[in-house]
Amino acid sequence: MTARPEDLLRALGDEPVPDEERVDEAARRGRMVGAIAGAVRREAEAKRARTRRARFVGGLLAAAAVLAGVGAAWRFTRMPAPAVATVTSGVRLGAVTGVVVRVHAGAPTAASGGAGVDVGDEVETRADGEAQLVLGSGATVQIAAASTVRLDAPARGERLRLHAGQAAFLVPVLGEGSELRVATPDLEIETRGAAWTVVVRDGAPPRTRIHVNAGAITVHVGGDETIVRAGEDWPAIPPTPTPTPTSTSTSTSTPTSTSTSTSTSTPTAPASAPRASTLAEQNQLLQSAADARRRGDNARCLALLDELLSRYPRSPLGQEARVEHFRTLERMGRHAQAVAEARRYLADFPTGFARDEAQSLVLGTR
Amino acid sequence: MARALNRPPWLRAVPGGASPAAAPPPSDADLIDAIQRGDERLASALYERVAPVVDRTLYRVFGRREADHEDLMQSTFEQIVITLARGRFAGACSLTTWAATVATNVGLNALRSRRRERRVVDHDATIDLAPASTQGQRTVDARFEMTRLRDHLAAIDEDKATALFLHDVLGHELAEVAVITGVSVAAAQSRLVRGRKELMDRVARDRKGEAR
Repeated sequence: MTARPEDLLRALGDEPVPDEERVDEAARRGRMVGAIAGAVRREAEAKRARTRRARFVGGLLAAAAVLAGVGAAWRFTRMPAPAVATVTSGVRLGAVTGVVVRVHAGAPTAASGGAGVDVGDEVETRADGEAQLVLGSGATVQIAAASTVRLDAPARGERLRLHAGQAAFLVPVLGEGSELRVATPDLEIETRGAAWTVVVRDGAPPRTRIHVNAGAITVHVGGDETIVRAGEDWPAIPPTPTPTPTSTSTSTSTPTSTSTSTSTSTPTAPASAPRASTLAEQNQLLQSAADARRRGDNARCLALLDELLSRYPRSPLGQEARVEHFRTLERMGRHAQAVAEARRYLADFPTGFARDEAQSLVLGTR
Repeated sequence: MARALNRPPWLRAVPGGASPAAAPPPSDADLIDAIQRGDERLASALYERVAPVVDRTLYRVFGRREADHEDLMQSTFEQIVITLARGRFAGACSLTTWAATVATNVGLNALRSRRRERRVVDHDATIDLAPASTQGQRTVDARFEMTRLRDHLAAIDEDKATALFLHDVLGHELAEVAVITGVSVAAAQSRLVRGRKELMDRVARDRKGEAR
């Protein structure tokens, strides 16, 4: 091989390209035109889906803007109101089901929807009762069965005390100077706009479990402050591991932003404890897989990912694990399996973060 | 009969008239516009426009029509449709020129993939490098050289390999290569020069019998 590379390459270009058999070409033409039409159709559908998503997001933003405007206008109209007009005067019971008792000045009476609640009053729900508390700020509190909530006198804003049971809070964004504080036997929660559930259990501290669905809250324990954001739990890792029946049921019980009724219907089963437990384990598996990858131990990496995906098929880390799975297969030279895995990923996560990478792998353009 | 005479005259299409060849083929812009609108009716026209160049390019990458030639063609077409539909084709060159580039990338990627698989599966395989002695042997050797050259091409950096293939194999001018690959002429030239050097080194090492 003494020729220069460009000459050799030119020789490649000079090689004659034989014509195909006419029959083969005709059959191929039919298949290819079908494939092109299919690709055009898929892309058009994907484009429409993207447009719909964009419109939906745009609609949400517009709605948020309108809400913000309404909120601002409402605040503006409230500004001249005297400071003595405390928010507690506007607290009332919303929908009530089952047996709910209002304790006013030490005297219990059966409560019904629409009843006012004064500072110092307690609302108790019995085993079959549930109640909604509507605060002056517009925040709502869904009190689950077998729970006790007391309306305290606040220094500013609003303040509640959850003695026992479970409640779901939906607090709109509050203006400067306004806040909602919720005290439990072992901590105090402060927020200016968030959705979260809180459970107070009997037993040794920490008795309170919190899961934040949207926004952020500040948890005050002793002299410490901890900010807990959407999707997070407090305490983050429960000190006493709770046995988990199955990983699937645990992950599916994760509260969502609209989990008010769901969470209040299971007051004695705090979802956060087992959820955090298995999530930590899932994280550990993914982290170990990443460590194995960094060491160049692809086989170990693959085994750990397989373990994660088989033990926790609905894991929130599933997408990341699936992407790492096909990447690892590709690194190991198992191209066909990597392509098959990338195809499955695209089917399950058509708009996933690694969509382009998976498509490139499937189409062989990487 | 009288009824037939009273009937108003009918007009109907009859075969013949203007030749179908008179209808002009859709332009590149028409094809791109149709794909972006999701109009499948021009799928056939797109195929007619770019299939020959895709077929030839893939043939040149592999030196023959491999068993999966049709799969690679289909991958190329899908890539073309996706890129056009998402408006990522800049339109700096003709559709056929750009299609050749897409086919080059698809082909070289497939070649790289096979090379990796061969490494895993067949890393102990040896090839008889006996000197040519007869005309038949020389032909076999020449073919072998070409195969090794393709193998080396697949082993070098993707950008350099594409520049080399477009310029030296498909015969595009340097300026065209720059436009097609979306880089400056200087960058294209740099890729070309460095790609040739790398290829030459690999060929030289191969001659000395060093491992690939």
